[in-house]
Amino acid sequence: MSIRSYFLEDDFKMIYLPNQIDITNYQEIESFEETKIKIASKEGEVVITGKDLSICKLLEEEVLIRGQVEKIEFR
Amino acid sequence: MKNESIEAWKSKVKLLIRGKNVSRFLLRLHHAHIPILEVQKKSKEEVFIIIYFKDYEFVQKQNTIYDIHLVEYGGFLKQKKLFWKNRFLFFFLLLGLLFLFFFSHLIFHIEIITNDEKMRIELLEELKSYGITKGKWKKNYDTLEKIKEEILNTHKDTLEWIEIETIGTTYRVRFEPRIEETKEDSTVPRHLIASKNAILKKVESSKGQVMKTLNEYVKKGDIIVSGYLFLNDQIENTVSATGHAYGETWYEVDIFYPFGYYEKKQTGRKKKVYAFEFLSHRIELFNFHPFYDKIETRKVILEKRGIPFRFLELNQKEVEITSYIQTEEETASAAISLAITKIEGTLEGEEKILDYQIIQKKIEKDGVRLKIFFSVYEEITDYLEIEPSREEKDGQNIS
Repeated sequence: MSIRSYFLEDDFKMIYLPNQIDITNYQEIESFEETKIKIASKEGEVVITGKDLSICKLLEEEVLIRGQVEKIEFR
Repeated sequence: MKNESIEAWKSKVKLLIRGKNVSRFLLRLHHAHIPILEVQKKSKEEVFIIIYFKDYEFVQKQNTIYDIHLVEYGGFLKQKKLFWKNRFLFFFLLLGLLFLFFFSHLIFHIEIITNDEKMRIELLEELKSYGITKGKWKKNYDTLEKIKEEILNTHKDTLEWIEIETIGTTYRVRFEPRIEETKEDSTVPRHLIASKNAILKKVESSKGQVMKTLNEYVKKGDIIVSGYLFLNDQIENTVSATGHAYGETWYEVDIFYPFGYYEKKQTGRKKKVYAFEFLSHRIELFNFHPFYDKIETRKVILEKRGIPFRFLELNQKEVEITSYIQTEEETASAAISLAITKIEGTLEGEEKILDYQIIQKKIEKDGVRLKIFFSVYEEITDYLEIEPSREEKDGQNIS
């Protein structure tokens, strides 16, 4: 880990907790539906599929998703 | 932590977004770089969002097919609105605190503990010159200490010490007057003599020669400590005899105490009351705190002949009634207590009542008459100056 990234914390990070996903330093939310959310990041595209998915917080560097997560795909 | 507290104070708004496919609206806000702090789904077509207040105007402009309702304010804006809503409450609260601060820092009363009226006036004037007077600001501890010191320096001949105590908005001033030098420190040649007949109980002498022994009966005028200093029965020197002599003395007190007592004393409180009087009934108007015991003068304001109704003006004065009736024993006991109090009132320092005996008890029509014999331990010090001519004439042969 470089010193720059230690201080600025600009790495893409995804924390999964039961029925909750916290994503930081993403690039864009490409699409957002109740069953599927597509998020673009430096590392590629993340596709979250599940039921009753909803965005609880939507900031420029952080997004918090709640709902019944069934699958997380890194493309 | 710092960021969190700053974040909590940032002005925010809670909005209700209503429309088909609300998530698309949220994405639009996201693409416009509008931070959405919280999203709460209400139903499929309704969602609550919290955004910064600065973005609110922009969000409103995005209102195309969506209904946007402002639900509530948050952060600093909420506090501001809350403050404005309760501005009168805060204003009067602040005003109350200011009043409290103002009045609790004012001097409302200066109490000088003394019976000496001249000294009281002098001290009040002195305190006034230091700005301690009714209606002025209270002084802090250091200033008070300084003032005390300065007063003591100014009145070092009359004041021993002074204390200015702060009790709420009152200054209580206590002081000890400087007692003038007594004749004890005199340099005039003299004897210490008995001021009354007594049995000598204690002699303290710092100058002179003690002539009497303890438990010896002395008569008024007897020399207890002589101003002459003897050597081989010859007067060697003459000094100013100094000291204290205490002895057992006797008093006979004749006291009368009544069985009963009734006293009506005005308290000084008075008021004017208006009242209706109908036959023997009276209704006093607006007299919410009537006096328990009172005397009054009445003035009829309205009266019609033949109608038992009057409108009155009453001038009432509050009185305090003290009354009691005692048995013979209680009366005798009260008489003894009164006699003891009277005797004790004349005693000072280590002086005390040693014993008392009732030598005569007479029951009269209205009360009890007692004759009480007191034996008292008291100071019997007095001085007798030695005349120079007499000293020269008689001094050689005194033994």
